Amino acid sequence: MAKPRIYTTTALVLKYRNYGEADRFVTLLSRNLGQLQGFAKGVRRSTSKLTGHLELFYKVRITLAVGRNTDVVTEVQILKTLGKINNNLDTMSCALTIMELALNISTEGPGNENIYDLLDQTLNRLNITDESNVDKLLTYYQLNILFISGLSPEFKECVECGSVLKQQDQLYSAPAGGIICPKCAPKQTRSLVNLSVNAIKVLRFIGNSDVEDVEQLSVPKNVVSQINDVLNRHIDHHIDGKVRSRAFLKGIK
Amino acid sequence: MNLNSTNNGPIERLVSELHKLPGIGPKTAQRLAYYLVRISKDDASQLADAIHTVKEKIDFCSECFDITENNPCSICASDNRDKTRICVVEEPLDIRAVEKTRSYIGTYHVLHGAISPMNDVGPDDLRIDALLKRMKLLEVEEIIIATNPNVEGEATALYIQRLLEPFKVKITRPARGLPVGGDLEYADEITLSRAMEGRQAF
Repeated sequence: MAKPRIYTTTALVLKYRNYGEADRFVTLLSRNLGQLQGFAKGVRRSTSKLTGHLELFYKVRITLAVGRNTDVVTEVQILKTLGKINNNLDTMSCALTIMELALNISTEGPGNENIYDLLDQTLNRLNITDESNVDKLLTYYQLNILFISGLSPEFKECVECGSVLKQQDQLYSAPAGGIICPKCAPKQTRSLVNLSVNAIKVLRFIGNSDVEDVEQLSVPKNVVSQINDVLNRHIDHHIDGKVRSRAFLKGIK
Repeated sequence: MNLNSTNNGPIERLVSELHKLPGIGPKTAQRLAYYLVRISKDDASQLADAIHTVKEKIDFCSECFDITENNPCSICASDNRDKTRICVVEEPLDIRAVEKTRSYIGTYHVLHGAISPMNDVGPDDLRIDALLKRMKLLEVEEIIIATNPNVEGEATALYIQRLLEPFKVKITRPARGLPVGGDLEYADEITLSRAMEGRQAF
C-alpha cells in the first residue's frame, strides 16, 4: 500500500539540527515506523505553534506531510516532557548518551519496537529516579540494547572454549565479544581487560532483572567503573558510530 | 559538483564561495552569483570592501568576547555599566537582543556556543574558562545565565552553575513565560507551567 500523503505517529525526539533562520531538522524514533526525519519550519520563532514542542527527550504525537526530500512537520502534540531530566547535569548527560545509542542502533521502518520501548522506559525512570541510580540505569540500558540488537557480551561461558566460567576474576576481550577463561587467555594476542567476580555478578544480575530491581541494587563505585569500562569497549567495538555524549558524561564526574 | 556547465571560471568560483555561507544551497548560490554579475561595479566593490573591512577591523572583546571594533568593547569600557552583574549568553546576537530591551545595565559574557555532546561541542570549546578568570578578577554579585531554553542551553547553564558554586555568587536564569502575540492554546506544557508558577498580581 502506498504511503499516505499525511501520517501521524507517536515518537520520541532523538536529535535535532538547526537549519536556516528559524527552522530545524528533527530525528525521531517511532514505535511502528522506526527512525524518522522531519523538517520543522519556523520552530525556533517564539510565536510559532511548534515552539517548545520538539525538544530532546519529549514523547510526541506528530503529524508529518510527505515532502520531496524530507517530510514536513505539520502538527505536534506533547505526550510527555520529562522535565526533571533537564534539572540535573548527571541525569541529562546520561539521557543524552542513551539517546545517542538509540540513534546509532535504530533503523528506518518497522522492527524498532523493542528499542523504542526500552528507551521510553529508561527515560521515564531517569525522570523520576534518584541521582545515585543514574549509572545503574545506564548499565541496564546498555546491556538491554545490546541484547535487543543481538550483540550481548558473553559473561557465562568462555568465548574461546565454551566452558562454563568459574566464580573468580576473569579477563574480557572486546573483539572476542566476551570473557576468555584463564586457560585460553595465555594464547590470546588481543587486548584483555580485568573483570572482577563481583562485576560479573552485577552484570549478570542487571542483564536478567527488571529496571525496578536494578535501582534497588547497591553497587560499589569501583565495580560500576569497571562495568562501564567493559560495556563502553564492547559498544565501541561492535556498534557503528561514536558515542560522543559519553565523553561529556565522563567529564562532569 | 559542476553547477554551471557553461561557465567554469570566475562565476563557478563565486558560486562555490557563496555556497559555503550558512543557509545558502547550490541553487540560491547560483541565483546570488548571477545577481552579482548584473549589479554595477561600484555596488560590487562596496560589498567586497565591506566584507574585507569586517575581517580587518572586527575582533573579539578581550573581556566579554563580544564582536567589536574597539577592544575592550563599548559595553565593557563604559562607566555607566554595572560591572557586578554578568549576563552569560551563547552568541553575540543574543547581546543585541537583550540590549534592545533597555532593561539591563550590567555587562555580558559570550560563550560562542552551547554544550552539545551529540555534535561534539564540549565545555572546552566554549569561553567558560575566561568567565571563571573574570570571576576571580572582578567582584561579581550576580551571574545571569541567559543560554537558550533548550537541552543544550540547559546543559551549559547547569555546567556553569556547577563551576560557579565555589564563588558563592547569586546565579539566576531569565524567567520563562508566554511570548507576546502568541496563542495560549499553542503554548507547550513546560512554558505554560512556568508561566503559571511565575504569575504576578494584576
